[in-house]
Amino acid sequence: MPETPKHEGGRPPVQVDNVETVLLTDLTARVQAAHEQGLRFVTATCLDAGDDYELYYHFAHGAALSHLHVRVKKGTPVPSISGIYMCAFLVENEIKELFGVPITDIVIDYKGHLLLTDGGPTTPMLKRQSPTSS
Amino acid sequence: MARRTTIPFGPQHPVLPEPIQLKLTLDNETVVEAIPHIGYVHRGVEKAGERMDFGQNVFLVERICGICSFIHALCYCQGIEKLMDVEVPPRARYLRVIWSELHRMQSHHLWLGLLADAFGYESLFMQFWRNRERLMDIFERTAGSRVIISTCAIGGVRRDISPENLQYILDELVVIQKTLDDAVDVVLNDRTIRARTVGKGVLTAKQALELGAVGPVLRGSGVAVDARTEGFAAYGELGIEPVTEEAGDSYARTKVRARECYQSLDLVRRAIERLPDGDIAVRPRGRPDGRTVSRVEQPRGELFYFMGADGSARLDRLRIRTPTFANVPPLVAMLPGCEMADVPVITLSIDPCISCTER
Repeated sequence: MPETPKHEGGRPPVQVDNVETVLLTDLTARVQAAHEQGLRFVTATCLDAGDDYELYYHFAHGAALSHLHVRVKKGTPVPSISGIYMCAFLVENEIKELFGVPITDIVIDYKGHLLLTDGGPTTPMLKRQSPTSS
Repeated sequence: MARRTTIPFGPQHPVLPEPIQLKLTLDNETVVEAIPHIGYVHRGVEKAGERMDFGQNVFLVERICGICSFIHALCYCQGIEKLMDVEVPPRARYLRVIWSELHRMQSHHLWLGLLADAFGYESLFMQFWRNRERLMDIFERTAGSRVIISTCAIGGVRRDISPENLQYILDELVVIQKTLDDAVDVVLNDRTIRARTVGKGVLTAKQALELGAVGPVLRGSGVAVDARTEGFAAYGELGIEPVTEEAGDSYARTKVRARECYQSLDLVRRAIERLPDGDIAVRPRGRPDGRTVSRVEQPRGELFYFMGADGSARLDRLRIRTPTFANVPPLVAMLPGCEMADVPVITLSIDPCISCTER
């Protein structure tokens, strides 16, 4: 097992509490379960992880937070959760535009024009493709 | 026979100081659908946050919003402190509460004034904003700046508040409370304001939770969720009960904000009373490493940051979810069924901050 990379002071990197990594195929079912438990959808976070995307879905139950984590190869379609949590439509459009994650079946799909305009930068949040690099 | 039309509400409208558009589908004068459009002034702050040094980012995030700049900095600093295992001195935690609650009060005063202005109550508008000026003067006296006060720092705060200035704040709060008593009495009891807000833009508790509402929008629907109850800064020691109202309409959201002004007055007084002696900051060592989330309560609701760092000087990811971004879907749900004439007040009732939304 590889050694955990150490912080300058010898401390291992901090990890988000209460995260569960799930398979993409299980994502919708897990979000549905969160909805049935009455969890409030807080937001989603996308990270550019080289060949992959990492997606976090953040939920709250009162003061407590929990998170679902999914890692997918770039180009893999990701099902929208906006059919379960309608309020996810804004952040899903944002992730789709800024990172290029092919999120499918968003209840209100802005077709790439929530934040970006024609002739503007594409997927500006990707590490290798920045709006000022051209 | 009903006539169906689609009209744009915004991006420029007298009740919208900042640009957002709602594409409204109407049946005669009744709204049947609202589709929000943002992105007019998007600034790419998250991207900028990956390019700047993690220390510089404190000044970057403060500039997301001029109304709650301190609380953005607080959320960011708390996240970095978690990543760097920094323990903030007790005096700094109390000072953070004082400046946060002063920000909450000035934000709610600003909004209550805008609400009065939306009804054409110009004198009431000026009463709230004159009171707000006293709060801005407190910022100037204690931080040297009125809008972006830059007192929050990784490891604590940059400035202390002297005993003379603490007494000055307490004296000002007496005057602020007196003016607030008079102005809030009008907002909550005036017949016209009640007619324009009671029963308008109703959001049930179930809808509020399902639609991810936060802050006074969520609490105005009877859901007692307030990130301050988590106890960050010195809220744990001071204790706080979320302010809630049950009706879920524009009036309930107004009442929550008015009552929260009094809650903030109380918190500032208690924080000053219990302010411990000691250092105001510790010097953080090393660099942030790992991933974490940070959550605080802005005047408009829960502010959420996700931070990823790899031990270098720059963050790998800085994700910012502001309260208005969360309150847009609830707004979309409040509008269908209302009259076109009520759209401005219902929109205003979520206290939209487009500056935050377009981070």
